[in-house]
Amino acid sequence: MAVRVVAVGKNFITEKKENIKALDKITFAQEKEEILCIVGPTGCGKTTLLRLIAGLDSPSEGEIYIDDKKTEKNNVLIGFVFQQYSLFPWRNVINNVAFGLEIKGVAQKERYKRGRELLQLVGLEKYINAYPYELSGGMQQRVAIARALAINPETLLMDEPFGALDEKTRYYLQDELINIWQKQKSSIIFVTHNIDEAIYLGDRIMIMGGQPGKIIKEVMINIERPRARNSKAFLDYHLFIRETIEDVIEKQTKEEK
Amino acid sequence: MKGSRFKTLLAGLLLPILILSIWETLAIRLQNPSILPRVEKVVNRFLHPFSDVLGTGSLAFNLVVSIFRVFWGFLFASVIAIPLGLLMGTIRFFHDFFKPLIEMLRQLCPIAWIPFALAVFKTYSVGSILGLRYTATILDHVQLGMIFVLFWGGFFPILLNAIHGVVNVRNIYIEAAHTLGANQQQVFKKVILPAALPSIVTGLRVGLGICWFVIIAAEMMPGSDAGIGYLIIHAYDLAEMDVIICGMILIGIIGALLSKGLESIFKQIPSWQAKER
Repeated sequence: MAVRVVAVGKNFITEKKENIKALDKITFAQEKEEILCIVGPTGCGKTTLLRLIAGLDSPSEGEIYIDDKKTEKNNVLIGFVFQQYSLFPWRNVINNVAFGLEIKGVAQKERYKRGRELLQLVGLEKYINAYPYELSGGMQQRVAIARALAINPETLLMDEPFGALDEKTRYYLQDELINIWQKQKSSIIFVTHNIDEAIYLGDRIMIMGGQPGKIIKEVMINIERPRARNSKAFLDYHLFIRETIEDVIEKQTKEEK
Repeated sequence: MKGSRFKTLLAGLLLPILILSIWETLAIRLQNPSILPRVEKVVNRFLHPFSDVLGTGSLAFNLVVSIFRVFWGFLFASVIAIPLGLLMGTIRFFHDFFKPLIEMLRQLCPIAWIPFALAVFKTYSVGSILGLRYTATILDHVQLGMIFVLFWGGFFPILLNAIHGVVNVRNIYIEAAHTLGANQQQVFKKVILPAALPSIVTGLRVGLGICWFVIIAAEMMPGSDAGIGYLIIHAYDLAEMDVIICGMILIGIIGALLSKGLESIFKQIPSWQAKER
């Protein structure tokens, strides 16, 4: 098992000193080499959950295991690709990709070699010496993926990484990601609010919703890759997931009234 | 922007030439060199940088004295303000500990430290601290009091910009480093420090500029014995306007050169910041 989340809850204290429960009793496990997509409406706690797994925040209740080791805050070695651009602007591409190896104390020659391999994998070997501001948004995210993969993480966590990109680039990067995944055999947890993206990428989709956020439903996607977005099976999944999310939102608005 | 460097240079020279002509015309009309001397008289001062001016030493000597004082004051300010700023920006306690005092001292014009500095440091110079009685060199003129006053000129801009740089490091860079396995120390060294560097450089530039302001004013105050500021105030007492104007122009030129010099040293570093998206 790559990632195991057991009865995790998360409370936040707002500026008005109100206690808000963002996540409640989240339990799931990710198989090795699985692409697990998490979809749900804005504010359902998808990103919060991902941050807990990455050790950027600690859960209020429950435990998280990565490769059967319990996680602690700021001490989780895991690939994380953020929604916003997160490359270090003062480092060129190769030094961004090799950052994790530099931290580990790997010698320069070796970490550049690995960095070059990864840049080849994401198709950016020409841009080794470029600085992030010289790259397009899509290219920056590809470098971010290479940087995350450099540390050979158990799982790659991706928080709407293609959310800020246009449709064409987004489709292209989805294919790239599948490509990388097939070569690297890594497990991926992919958060998105785009249902189409989730079905295209995921082996399994978890639908989250509610206040506090819960897992509403799990859907296995049984379509061979590469997946055609206009196939009947694809569209059926789309409709089903969409209805499930709409139900959740409707129920939530009723409760609020 | 298109156009050759020559055109840029020419455009920049137009206004000074115009001002020089008006000055010369007025000077000829006025016939009173203690209010407005002829241009030629001032130029003549520039042409003899190593000859004595009104018994205060040469232009070059006074200039070097001023620059030397600024160098030491600025150096001490940097050496103390940068680490302190990094500390205050990183650790909350130190921020809260130093902040009230700093907010108060910051309001003081560095010139206000002069009486205090004169009383405490008397006329001790770098030379006398080194155990040298009178070396007849520049060391005799670099008084500790001057360095102390200049220190306050450079200290606050450098400190505040260092704090600003650390506090404003985008959180996502720190989080990204954590997910890549960096511990607190590594985050500081490899993320916070480089991310804060452009702001630190800004602080150094502003600090040096203020030091250059302050030295001129400080040299006009009691207790001064040399320097460009001293030369100007001394020339005023003797109604030697050509020396005053010559000194003022020198101050402007050297100030611009200092700023440019520092800029070119750090040219590479902040380039990414402006282009960051």
